[in-house]
Amino acid sequence: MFSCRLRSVFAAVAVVFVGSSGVRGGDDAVTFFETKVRPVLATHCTNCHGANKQKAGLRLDTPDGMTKGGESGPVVVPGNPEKSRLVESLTYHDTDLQMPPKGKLPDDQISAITRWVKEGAVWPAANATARATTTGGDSGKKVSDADRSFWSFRPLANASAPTTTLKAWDKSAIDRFLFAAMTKKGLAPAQRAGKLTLIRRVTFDLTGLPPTDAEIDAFQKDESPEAFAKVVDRLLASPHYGERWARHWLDLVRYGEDQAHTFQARLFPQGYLYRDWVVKSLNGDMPYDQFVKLQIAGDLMPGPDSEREDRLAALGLFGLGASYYAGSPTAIADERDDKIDTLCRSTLGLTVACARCHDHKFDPISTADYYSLSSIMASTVYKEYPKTTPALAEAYDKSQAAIKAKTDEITDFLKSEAGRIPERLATDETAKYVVASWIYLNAKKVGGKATVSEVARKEKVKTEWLDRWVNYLDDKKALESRPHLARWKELIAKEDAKADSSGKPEARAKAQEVGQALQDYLKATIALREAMKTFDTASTANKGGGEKLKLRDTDKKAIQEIASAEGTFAVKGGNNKIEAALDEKSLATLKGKRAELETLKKSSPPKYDVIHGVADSKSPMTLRIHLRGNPATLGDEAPRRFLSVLSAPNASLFKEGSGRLELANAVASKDNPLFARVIANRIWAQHFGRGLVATPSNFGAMGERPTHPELLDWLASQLISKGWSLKTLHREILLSAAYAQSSVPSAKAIEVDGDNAYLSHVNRRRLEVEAWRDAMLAVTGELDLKLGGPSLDLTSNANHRRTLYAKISRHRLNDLLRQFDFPDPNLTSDKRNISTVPLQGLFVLNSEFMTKRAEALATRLTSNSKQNDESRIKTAFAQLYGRPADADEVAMGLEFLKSAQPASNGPSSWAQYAQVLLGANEFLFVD
Amino acid sequence: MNPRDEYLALLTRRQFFGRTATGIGTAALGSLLNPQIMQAATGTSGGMLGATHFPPKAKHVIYLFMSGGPSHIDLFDYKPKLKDHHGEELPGSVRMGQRITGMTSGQASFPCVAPMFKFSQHGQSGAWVSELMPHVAKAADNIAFVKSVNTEAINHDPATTYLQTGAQQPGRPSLGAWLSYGLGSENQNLPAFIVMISQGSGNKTDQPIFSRLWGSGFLPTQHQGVRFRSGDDPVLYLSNPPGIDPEMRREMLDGVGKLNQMAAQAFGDPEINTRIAQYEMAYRMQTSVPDLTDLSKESKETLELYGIDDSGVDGGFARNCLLARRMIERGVRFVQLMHRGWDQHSALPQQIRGQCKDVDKPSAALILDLKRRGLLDDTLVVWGGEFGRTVYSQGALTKTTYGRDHHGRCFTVWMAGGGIRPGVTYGETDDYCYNVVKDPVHIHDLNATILRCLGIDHTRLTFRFQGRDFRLTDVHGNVVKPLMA
Repeated sequence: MFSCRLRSVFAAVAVVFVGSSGVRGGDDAVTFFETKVRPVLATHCTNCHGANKQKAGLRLDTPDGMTKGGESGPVVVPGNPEKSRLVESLTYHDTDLQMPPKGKLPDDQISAITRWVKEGAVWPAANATARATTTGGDSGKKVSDADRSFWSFRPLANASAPTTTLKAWDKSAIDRFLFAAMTKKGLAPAQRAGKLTLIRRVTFDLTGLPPTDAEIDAFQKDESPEAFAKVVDRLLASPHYGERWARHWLDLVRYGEDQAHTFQARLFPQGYLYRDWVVKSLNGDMPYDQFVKLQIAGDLMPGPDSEREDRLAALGLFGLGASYYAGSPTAIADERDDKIDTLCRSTLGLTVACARCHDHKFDPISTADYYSLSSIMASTVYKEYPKTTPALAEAYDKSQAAIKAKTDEITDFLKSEAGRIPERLATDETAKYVVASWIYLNAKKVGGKATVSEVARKEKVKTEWLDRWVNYLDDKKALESRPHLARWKELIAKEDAKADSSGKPEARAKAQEVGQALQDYLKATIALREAMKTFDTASTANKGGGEKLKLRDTDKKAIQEIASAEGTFAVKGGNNKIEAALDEKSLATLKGKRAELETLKKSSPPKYDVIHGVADSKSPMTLRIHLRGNPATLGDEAPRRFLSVLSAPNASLFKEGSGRLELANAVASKDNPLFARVIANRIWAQHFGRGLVATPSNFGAMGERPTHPELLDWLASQLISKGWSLKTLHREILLSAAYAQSSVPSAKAIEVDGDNAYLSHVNRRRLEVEAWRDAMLAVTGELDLKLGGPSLDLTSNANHRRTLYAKISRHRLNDLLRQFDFPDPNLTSDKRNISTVPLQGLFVLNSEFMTKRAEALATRLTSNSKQNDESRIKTAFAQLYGRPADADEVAMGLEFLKSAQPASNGPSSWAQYAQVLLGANEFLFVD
Repeated sequence: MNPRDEYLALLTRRQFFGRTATGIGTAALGSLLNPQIMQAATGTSGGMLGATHFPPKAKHVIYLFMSGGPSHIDLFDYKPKLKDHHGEELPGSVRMGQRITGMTSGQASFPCVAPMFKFSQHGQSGAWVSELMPHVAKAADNIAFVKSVNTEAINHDPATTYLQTGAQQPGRPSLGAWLSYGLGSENQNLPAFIVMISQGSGNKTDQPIFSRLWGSGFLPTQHQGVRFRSGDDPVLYLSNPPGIDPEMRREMLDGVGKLNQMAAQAFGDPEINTRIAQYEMAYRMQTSVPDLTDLSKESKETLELYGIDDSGVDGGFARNCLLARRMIERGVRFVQLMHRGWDQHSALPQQIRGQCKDVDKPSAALILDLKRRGLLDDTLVVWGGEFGRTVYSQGALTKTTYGRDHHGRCFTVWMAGGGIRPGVTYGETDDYCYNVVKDPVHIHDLNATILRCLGIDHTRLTFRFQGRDFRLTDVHGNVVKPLMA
């Protein structure tokens, strides 16, 4: 193998290097080389002297290349920096030998290289493998058995849960696993939470909305043992379940509807189709493996025609990805990286993108693995699929083609006209421009202030051409070589050099005469040239005549300088300029063409919606490894395949197209233990506020280890055995005794388990911005619960729909979202930040959104004239916090209402109180 | 059972008192003055670093960001020989096939343009400054001019993102957010990182500026920059809604406070202190911010120094410079001014005159004003854009006008104050202002140096995000020691 051969070369050469200087290359020397020398060579030298280019025949990326040197011999003499041309070139002492050419390196880098040479130019031999892996030159880093035995790569274990003595905790395997671990820590589970707490908890958890009065009431009245299970089932069947859980997924896949820049940004006006597909799929409890496969390769998967649009909408995972600025090789590599990173973190819990510049430092993922996936992405292109029937799409595309053809025709027409205009002007208007130039130059002679444009206006000529005419005629040096300007030369020579003659009619008449003569000359010359064209064809009958009629070089020059596209009458600039210079006949032709274009536009069917997806490129690509992540320095080929550590040792390469379908099958497989573990952990983390693995997108060596490995594997196995049904998994978790615990920690828990890793109580949770805003609109009775459709601007006061439907901009994220910890949609996010900052306080106190909600709530509460304030306060507590108000709370409310002054042009005292209630902590937290 | 009662029943006596001892009940609102509680509330006081890695030279930064890319050739990087090459093609040996933007890549000819402005030397340091910047020229002895700053980016959006965050692609925290995260804030009533934007009189249609540029990326949200706008409501939602007076506002706040306390006594709410403090600080910002932005107490002389009443100068930037000083006085960590309009693709001479008139006097005034108040010693002032401009003309070169395209291979940034060696010029470009020939300073080096002035080792201010330690300078950056005092 190539890489093996290289390695043996390294070994041999390194011995020569070390041996020749007599200095032993110990660990320090290796470290020094790796940290101080190799980075300098890689950054500043190997672009031109490396694998890709070998300027002057020199390579500085291998010890071999160093010894051999370039066209002028060796560049390094180990132990002797003074004799090493490498060092000499860096010092810039010799003006003919200065490297790198872009500029001298910083002194510390030069002295590092000097020291390295002086100490024997150690190129670590034993570390050849490490070297090759750090620069990404090796495509063969093997995954060892030890690598495969890391906990998250092992197959799912099948441990049975120990029985417990506590009856309530013995029904579910989940509880038995938790109970066993808890008891080991000396912890005991918390009591079961009350019904009011439970229904509020589970309703927010599954739908992101507060329970309604009727729902609370029904649950309280239901004394059956299945009462809570009925609530869970009702909520899982609610369409709002999909809305809530789609948002969790959208965080992971960095859902956004535009790009983080303005100029030539690719927009996704129908990006919402992907969002709605996620909602619909979750509501339909689509098997999770199918859910992910469709997102990777929906276009390549079979299925009924009626679901074609769904399969394509799923492609938003990649289709709505980043499209970076201006398409430089690095930006294109960044775009592929975005896809790899998003896919691998979200579905595999692996930081594969770390292997872009060097092999992953902690996990068994090589650059070869990374670029194999990158080759798949490089063979995949963005595609907009028409969301309409093929016939309508074709009709639209045809009419667009016709419009484009007509537009091109107009452009071509103007272009050809632009070529003809100078000659027409030369034969018709030369005299006018000569006179105008003469006037301007006369005025200038005596220091007059008239500008070219003023003269142009008076003489009814165009400034642009006059400006050129003035320069042309004023170029006295060139007059000698321009015989056609002989009379002009004579004219100005005769005039008084110190006086402005332009006011004298007789002087002007002379200038006019000169101009007219030039114009006549040009006209005749051009006519002659045209005549030549026909004369030539007839000239066989006219022996020798052609020669007499030949244009002189000076004639050609005159035409070139005045009447050509480079001459004084040239039309420069856009179509407007050309149009302004057209004669009437051409103008009429142009108008005719424009009218035809308008007709075409009017008759075109409207633009159809598109689905933003991806497709295989015409010819699949095999990238080469980018050494150090640099697209300009390439290593071995990285054929399309899956990650080595998750593949069988003899797994074959991907063969079909881009390999996306094969990738989808490899990722979403029950043989891939990470796939089930990662999603089971995510579901768990959303329900409990903490994952069994506390780093949900990193199951690698740098991530946390699972607190309950057996439970995690049990959940993952359940998911697989129940046909990848997420709803079944939810139900299993939600009906556990653990989920129904109170959120009050025991004294022991506070003492030994501050993070509540052992779940001896439930974590109190703060609502995300979406649930908070939705809850606010829900309790004021304003929430519009319509499902799906185009995204809406969140800043609009009329927008009363769920926050899920807000436009998500990567460029200018909505202020409310930004202020309240919504994740940056440029990056995958597995956990919301929780911040408490004054700007949020200002929003609650002063924003129009809040004051409007407070007014609506006040109106709703006071609409029943039969109620008194006390009963209204009680209603408010029940609706907002899902519990009855206490006596002291009612008293405080009454006092507030009494003392609050209704503002003459502002909120009533009830509106002020409503805002207090909405702004209180309890509204924002769920127990 | 009512969840409240349920809670109370479940809580042991010890737990209840254990929790309330930190301030609930007895004096929750009174304890707001307790700085520790404020820290918890805002996360802004006391940065992640605790103590800095080195003794800091500067404690604050005012970054005068010149959005669009000012022409180093016409302002600071004086090349007398350029006159001899005026109108000549840029030699291929200089350009070396470098990537150029789509705006000039189709151009058939690349004529060199010598600036049409006079340069002269100033101060004891003898710094060359163009006649367009007479006030900055006078302050030259306070300034370090870095002529060799360079970047790989050649378009506004990636270049600005690169300079601000160390990466060309979006999603990373900006410099100000890193500083807020690392060093925290010195004022409990104002954000640690403030941004102000002004429109220059040069190119009025150049690239817009968006909030992404002062975002906190993956850092916690409280570190993002807060934009102060001009007008009556400098901070979003700062003003009371119509009909609400301060007294009513106080009453509502007390209402929220009481409700929170009642709930906290029952539920043992761990967030109570932070939430009360959050509202209190919001309330105090309603007075501290108007006080900050009220320039009526500034002397006439000061206003004139900045050119605020000079009708010929764009009020936005001058006013923002003075506000920046007032923010620094109040302990704001990082103030970033963004002045748009430096994108001179055409009509450069006319546009750049306007731009310089906008910024010359106020930039110099800021240095002098900070200095005379003793604030320059611990305030670092940085002036510069996202890249420079080409020596060759974009579009036709005529006797009266020319344009210049984007140029990242070298441009000039100047710095003054805390930690910076005054009166020096660092780095050198070739005779065409095209390539760096001596002491290159990559933008990562520039950022590393800024952090170093604040006592931070740029390799050690990191944040672990999804398994990787990120930093402002990515895996690059060297502190430019010769620039440091």
